[in-house]
Amino acid sequence: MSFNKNVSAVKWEFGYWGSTIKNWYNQGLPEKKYPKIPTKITTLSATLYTTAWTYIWEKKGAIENERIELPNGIGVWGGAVYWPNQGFPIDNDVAEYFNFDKVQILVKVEQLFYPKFEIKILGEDSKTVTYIDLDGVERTFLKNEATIPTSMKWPIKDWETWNKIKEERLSLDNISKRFPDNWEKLLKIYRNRDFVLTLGGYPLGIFGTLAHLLGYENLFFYYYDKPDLIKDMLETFTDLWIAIWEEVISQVDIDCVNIWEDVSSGTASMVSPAIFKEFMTPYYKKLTDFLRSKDINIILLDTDGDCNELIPLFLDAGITGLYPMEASAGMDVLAARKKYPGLQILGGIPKSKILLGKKEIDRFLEPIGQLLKSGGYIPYGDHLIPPEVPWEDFKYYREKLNCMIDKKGSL
Amino acid sequence: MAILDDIYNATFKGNYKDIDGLVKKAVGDGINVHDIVNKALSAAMLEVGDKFGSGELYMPDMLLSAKAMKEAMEVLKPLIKGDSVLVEKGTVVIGTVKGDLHDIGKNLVITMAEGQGFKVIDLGIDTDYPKFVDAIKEHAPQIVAFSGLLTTTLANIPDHIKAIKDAGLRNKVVLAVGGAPVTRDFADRYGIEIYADDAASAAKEFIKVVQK
Repeated sequence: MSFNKNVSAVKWEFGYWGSTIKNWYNQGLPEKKYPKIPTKITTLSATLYTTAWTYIWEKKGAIENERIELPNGIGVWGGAVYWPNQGFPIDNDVAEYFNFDKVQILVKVEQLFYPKFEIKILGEDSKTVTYIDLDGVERTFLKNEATIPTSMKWPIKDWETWNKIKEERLSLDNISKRFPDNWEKLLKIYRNRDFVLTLGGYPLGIFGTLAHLLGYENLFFYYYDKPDLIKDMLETFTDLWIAIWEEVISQVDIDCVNIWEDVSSGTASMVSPAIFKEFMTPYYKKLTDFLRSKDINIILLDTDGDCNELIPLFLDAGITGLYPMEASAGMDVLAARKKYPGLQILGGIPKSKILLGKKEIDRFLEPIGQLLKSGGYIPYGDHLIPPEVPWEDFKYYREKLNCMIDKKGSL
Repeated sequence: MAILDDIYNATFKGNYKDIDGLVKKAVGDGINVHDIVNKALSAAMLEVGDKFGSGELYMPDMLLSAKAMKEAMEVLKPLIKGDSVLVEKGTVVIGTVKGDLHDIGKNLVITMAEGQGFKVIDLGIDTDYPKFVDAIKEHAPQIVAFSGLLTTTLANIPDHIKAIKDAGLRNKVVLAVGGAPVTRDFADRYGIEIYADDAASAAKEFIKVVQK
């Protein structure tokens, strides 16, 4: 990420759908270590959707060490996205097959609510279970489809609900309680690591956290109707994150920070530059100025979709890199590098074109060599690899990409 | 007329708090409901759609305008009932596909389609295959629209189409699909006639269908 041309890019993938991994096991991927879905609640970032998955399995009598079949709609992380994350499992077998680098690890500290909300089941029938989750959001989980639980109601509705949450769960006076009991042991591991260590992560973002706790529609209305509430939320969260990060950084060096936004749709940014400048830029700057003062110079931002218009705004606000650069949404990693030479880029490989076979794979990988030669780029599929992609095609793509990485861009 | 301009501007700017009063004033002044809908509300939403499509407006702008339009229609609906001038352009059956509970995109399409004079039958979220079939039989729509946000549930769309085919209804409707992970390639792969990048474009495509 530091544009050092003498160093090869890291080998990672963003991830895969559960159904993709299951297909690949049937198509030739050696099954050695089936992805294990986390069942214990830890931090909100790490285990947000664990509530839904575990509730179902507990009902079925599944036990901790039992092999639980991957639901089709669960994500399986591929190393490029920090882990643990959202209660999704980490892949082992694809990584071993392609000799991927070690997974990026998220520091185990609670960065959202302390204390968390109590899980409460609100209703259940043969198809669904509806519950209050650890972050206070009411979610519905479809038992049969087992897709990612859908948020139905949100805990922050107005000043009253916000002030209550702020007072009860976002205090700056008990930061030490946000660290786990085994923190000293973790510190030893973190200090002697051979992996990337990161802070931030899902659902921490200047847009993302608010969308997560208010709902997208409400957030869009509140930008106009309740701007002071939005700004107070952002002041509070950024103060909190700086306080937590300061405590962590005082004890262990951190490699990078990940910010989760998903602020762009398939065709454009969801918010205007005017909203960005008023409600996002000042708070990014607050965070990135702090991180730079601590010598953290890799600040990565996760936004799916077409974020072309926002790139200069992100850079101006101190963000250094973007992923997953969805090609299908119009993100062109070569054009982005040309226009913004200092932007760190991750992803950008058109996942949905891998199934088109060798000729097409050769075609889209060819220009990737230029980026690998210039550094500051980690190539991988531009989101979770879909189940339509056959193992043979993925194997061809990934083996060729690995070869290019080893040769620093040459074919 | 100044009041129609005011309603147009309030809709375009998403001023949903004031539009109720403006529409009531227009009705009180004896302005034809047909003109309020077509010359102010629908026209403003068309411009919103165009500017959204060209990147000049953003999702919050569109949601605010859609809310303004809805508020206005709440005032007008009792007056529209039985109005022979306001003939519906056509009928659209729409639902979020089986296994998917998201509805922002679907609701925006509904607002845009209603704004252009379509009767919209909203089947809601997590819509099972038979619901679409039953709705086609009951409402005889020209268009059936599938909405989906999750990549994994898009895999259910071929089964939705199969159910419609099996019921012998495929030739009676034009199919449409939209949602964040949907692409033109996806629509083409399953023979879905309409693919739109956004809600405003979808409504325009619907108009083309009924104009044929």
